[in-house]
Amino acid sequence: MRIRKGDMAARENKSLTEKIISPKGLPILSAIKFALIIAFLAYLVNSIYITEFNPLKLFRGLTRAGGLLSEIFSPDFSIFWDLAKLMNETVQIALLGTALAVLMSFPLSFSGAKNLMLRTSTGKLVYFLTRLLFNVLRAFEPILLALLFVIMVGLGPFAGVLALGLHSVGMLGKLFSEAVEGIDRGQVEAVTATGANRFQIIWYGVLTQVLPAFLAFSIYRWDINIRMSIVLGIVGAGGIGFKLIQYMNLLQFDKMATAFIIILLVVTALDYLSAYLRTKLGQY
Amino acid sequence: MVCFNGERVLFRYKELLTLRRKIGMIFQEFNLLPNLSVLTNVLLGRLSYQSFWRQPFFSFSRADREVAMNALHKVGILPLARRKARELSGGQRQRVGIARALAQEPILLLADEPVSNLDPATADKVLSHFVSLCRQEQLSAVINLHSVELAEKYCDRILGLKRGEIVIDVLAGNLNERELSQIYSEDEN
Repeated sequence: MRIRKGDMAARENKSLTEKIISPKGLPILSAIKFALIIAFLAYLVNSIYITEFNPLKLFRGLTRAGGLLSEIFSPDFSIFWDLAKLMNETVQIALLGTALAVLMSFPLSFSGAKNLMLRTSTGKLVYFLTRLLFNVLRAFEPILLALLFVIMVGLGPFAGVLALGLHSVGMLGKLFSEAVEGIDRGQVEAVTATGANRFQIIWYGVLTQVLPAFLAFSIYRWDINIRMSIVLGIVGAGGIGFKLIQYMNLLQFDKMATAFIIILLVVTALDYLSAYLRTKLGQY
Repeated sequence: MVCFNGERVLFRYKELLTLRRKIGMIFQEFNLLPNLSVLTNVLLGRLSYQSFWRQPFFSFSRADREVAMNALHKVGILPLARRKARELSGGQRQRVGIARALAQEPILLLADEPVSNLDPATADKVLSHFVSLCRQEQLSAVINLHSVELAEKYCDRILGLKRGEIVIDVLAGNLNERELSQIYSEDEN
């Protein structure tokens, strides 16, 4: 006589319920859940006090900002081309930073892919170290890295390139690795079956599958890095952000307005370009 | 112990590469690279002949390209050489798969359910073409089929397997119903 599957499941179910429900019949698990939810809500309400959240203050501030707004709506176009040059610098900081990151993440994307690395013990170690590197790099916000590099290489765009590049390795490496993990095994098997060597298997069997995704992620990263490099300018890492914070400190709101317009135009245009290129690649 | 061509296979890396080149494999799911052209897919069969410096550049020698074009001609889809593999129909895809295996210039072909992903009419056409190619090239092929009908129609020798054991080993035409039903009968105990 075999024990039927249904009986087994029922028995397991019963012991599971016994574990969760205390002798009095109160479900412990849901009591803990309930307490956690209450604690979370209390924490959320508490943040109103901690952040001094006050809508009245915002309304009062709006009337005070009237002067600022009128200056913002009369931008100073005499500095347009100078600022456009700086915007170009911002775009190029992002471009070079992204390019460096792509170069560095490319080999790491293979050593950070589970499906390629987990078969041997050295592979496991390399996989673990690669993933650790990605996590550490992602933990450092670009603005913190920029502060560090400004100290190391001085004020200017070079610090911005290094900061964006290093942070992007963490992000791109992770995305690239996940693309490698999502490949179709069958295609790799087919290339292997032809007698291809290890390099050829990676190059023909894996790379051809992930290249469109790699390109799409890189373009997307460039797009994000342009917006980030504007912020990096504020801590002295070159580009238009550097000028922007200067105007703000000198209360030159008309010049600031020109900078805003240029940023808005270029970021929007490149946003569309990036989206268009990624659709062409068939990714997202 | 695994033997091939009278020699024991030791599963050393270099030896395995040579062995894989000598044995062409045809897959149930075709396993083409959809982003690449039909010709490049067939050229993959020439990877083991590709010289070192050509490897990173997807570059193949003139001789290799001729072998690939010739293989495409043999399976009857030479005009599709420049199309992307993803644009092909199922039957055409498996023809590319066969061409890729032929391009290796193998001495044995293995085919795992080569036509089970195709509709019956196409399956019949592709399999008959494949078998006649093998006869023409004097190539042995081990084909794994679930359709007894196709096996009887096209193969010279039929092996029946049950739980990893060979229970039938006959020349085509000598298959008897009783033995067959023994393989396909579900036994409950």
